[in-house]
Amino acid sequence: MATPVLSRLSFSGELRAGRTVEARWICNHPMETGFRVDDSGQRIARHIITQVQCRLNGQVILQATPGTGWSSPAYLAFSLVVPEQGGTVAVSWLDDQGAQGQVEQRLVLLP
Amino acid sequence: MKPWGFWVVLFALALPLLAPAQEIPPAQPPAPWPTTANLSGLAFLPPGLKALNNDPGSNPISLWLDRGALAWSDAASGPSCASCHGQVETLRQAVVTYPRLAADSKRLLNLEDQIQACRTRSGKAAQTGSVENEEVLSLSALLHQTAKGLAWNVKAPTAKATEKNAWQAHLNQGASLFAQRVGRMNLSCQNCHDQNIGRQLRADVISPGHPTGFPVYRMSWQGLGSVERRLRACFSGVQAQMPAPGDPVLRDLELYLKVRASGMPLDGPSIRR
Repeated sequence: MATPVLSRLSFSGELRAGRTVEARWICNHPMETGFRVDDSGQRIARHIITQVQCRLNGQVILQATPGTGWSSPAYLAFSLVVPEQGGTVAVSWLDDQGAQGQVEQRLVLLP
Repeated sequence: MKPWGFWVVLFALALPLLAPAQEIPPAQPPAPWPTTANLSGLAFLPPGLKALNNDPGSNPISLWLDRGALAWSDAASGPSCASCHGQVETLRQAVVTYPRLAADSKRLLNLEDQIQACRTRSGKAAQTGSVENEEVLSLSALLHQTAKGLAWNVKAPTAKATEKNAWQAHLNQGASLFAQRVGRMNLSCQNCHDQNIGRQLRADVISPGHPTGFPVYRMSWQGLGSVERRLRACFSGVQAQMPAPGDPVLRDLELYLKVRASGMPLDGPSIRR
């Protein structure tokens, strides 16, 4: 099995309409800086996430262009205001080798 | 000297006398880390890391747990774990009994060895070099998570006297290693983990060294590591020659440490500094 790149998205705070909650995205991408060498002295090729896009109900609310300063596992926390009807938050990423991934999480409002 | 210069000097000399007498507070003792011998490493974490440890949302270990769950039912090359063992929970009780004596009673197997043996038997890739296999670690993390809260219960095999003696020999070897001074620092395990619990060692606090929270995510590794990796790092820390991965010495030491932690609850995969 090839190394799967897994993401997780979770919310911290009360999921009620109008409240601000913190969304946390974590991804086990290798985030190899390209500055390191392996045991035999060969340079390890750069392999990092170059774009992260966060969408709330399809609308882009955050776009980030990570550099080599992000360590592995990649972690991003951002706050958002919970819409009236709840909805879905999606975080998608793209790395410099063309791989991409996406994770979605529904905002289930508290009764 | 100018005439006013004398008065300036005199005033400067008299200043300490003019200041009100203040009592210097006695030195506060250092951060109150516990010094009890039967505490898990979690008790020695700073509050921030403790919070990270308890929050599955931002805890990086959850990624390994997810991966372990995928690997458990991965049947791409040979039978999956699930096809023999069924649910992960069925192995709950077994986790706390490792390391165990191998069938040929010549060596000890820890849980990672057992996972590796299973994987080799079912045609999956073996570990190469000193880097730990991420999939084996993920499965180990998943199993340890499942057994969270169970009491460590590593015991001698009772079926045959020869097995029991072999096991006891490994345990004695581990115990003598624990007390043996090694390396350029000339320190034994017990110099720190028995005699200096709760004291600061550079930026870290010395814990009693119970292996109850493995595999651990160490901040300085930026990744997950097994007991074996931690023990090898200890050898490096006291500037002794590091045993190769899989060295029987490491298994003996692990056996002794887990017998030493008998009855303590398994913490599940944890965060460390």
